[in-house]
Amino acid sequence: MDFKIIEVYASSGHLVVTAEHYNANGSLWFVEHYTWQGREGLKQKRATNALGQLLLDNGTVAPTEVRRGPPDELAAFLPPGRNWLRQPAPHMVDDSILSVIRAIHKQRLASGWPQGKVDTLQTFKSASTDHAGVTVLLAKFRSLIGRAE
Amino acid sequence: MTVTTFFPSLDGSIVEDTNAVWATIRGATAGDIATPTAATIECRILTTLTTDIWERMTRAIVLFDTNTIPDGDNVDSATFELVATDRAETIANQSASMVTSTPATDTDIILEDYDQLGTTKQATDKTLASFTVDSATYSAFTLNATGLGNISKTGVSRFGFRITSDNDNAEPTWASDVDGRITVASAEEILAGDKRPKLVVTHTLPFVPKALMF
Repeated sequence: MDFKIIEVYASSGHLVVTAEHYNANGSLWFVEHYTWQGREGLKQKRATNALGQLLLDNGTVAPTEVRRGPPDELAAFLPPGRNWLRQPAPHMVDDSILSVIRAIHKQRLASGWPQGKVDTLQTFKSASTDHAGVTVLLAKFRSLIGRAE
Repeated sequence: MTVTTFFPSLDGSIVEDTNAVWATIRGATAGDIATPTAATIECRILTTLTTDIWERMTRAIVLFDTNTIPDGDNVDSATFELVATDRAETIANQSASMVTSTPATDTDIILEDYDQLGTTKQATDKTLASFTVDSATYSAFTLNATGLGNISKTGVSRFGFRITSDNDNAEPTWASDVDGRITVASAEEILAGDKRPKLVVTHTLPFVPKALMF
């Protein structure tokens, strides 16, 4: 096991994911805080239909125009007065978090990192959107507590 | 140390789409197409069928609102990571350079932003061949000291990328209808999962020694 997520919580409008990283022999190597701005909880991916076509906020398929290549491609565009239809859930997914923890573990294996180092979390600055969005992130990602790889 | 991941507050490409010699297409002050809401962004150089005439040059701008990093923290390391969706390498041995950008605003990418990319390298150039092109795997630029210094703790960190030949003003040997391009998922990507560009920053409160007086 390389790491285990031991806590997921909100602090200063940020999602904080605390992970223990382990040596190859299973002993504790270091503890790190990984953070994301709370505003990410308010960002949603654009919605598409089963054909992968982008949808507008009135449920219709977005118009397209040929974007000259090569290769030529059909590009959807937003007509005046319309917005994109968005998926209900945040754009972030479990792997948005896990991929960063994996990458840091790999980087520090290669570069070296002190044994037993425990990160001290500082107080972040934040915007109102961070405080509004972090509860969404917390609800979505608290289930990662205990996740180990 | 704390590791904070930022996704773009805005990104987009600006395309100069005109048949012209290298100096003209590279030195244009505005592009012909800007794509702030496209699902992909890219950097590119492309030739025409006419000797010494280039058809297209494309540059990409990516902004991250990093002002939530604590003011007193040092930025120790960072990676700028992209998921490539397509590549063209009929112009051999091309690379991408990570640079800074100065778009007119932080809320839109416009045609006039074409000439608003710097040339100072924020990371070692990355060969187009070294990108994993599978619409799933991140490929990373590791920021150098200059790049780390351009991560703002008080505002928006404005970066971008362009083909290195464009960046260095080193015109490749011309050939007919050849292409150097890397296309990556944007902040508005619609791939499975979350494949947006990201800036992963490791930062720490500097150690401040304190004297004990007896």
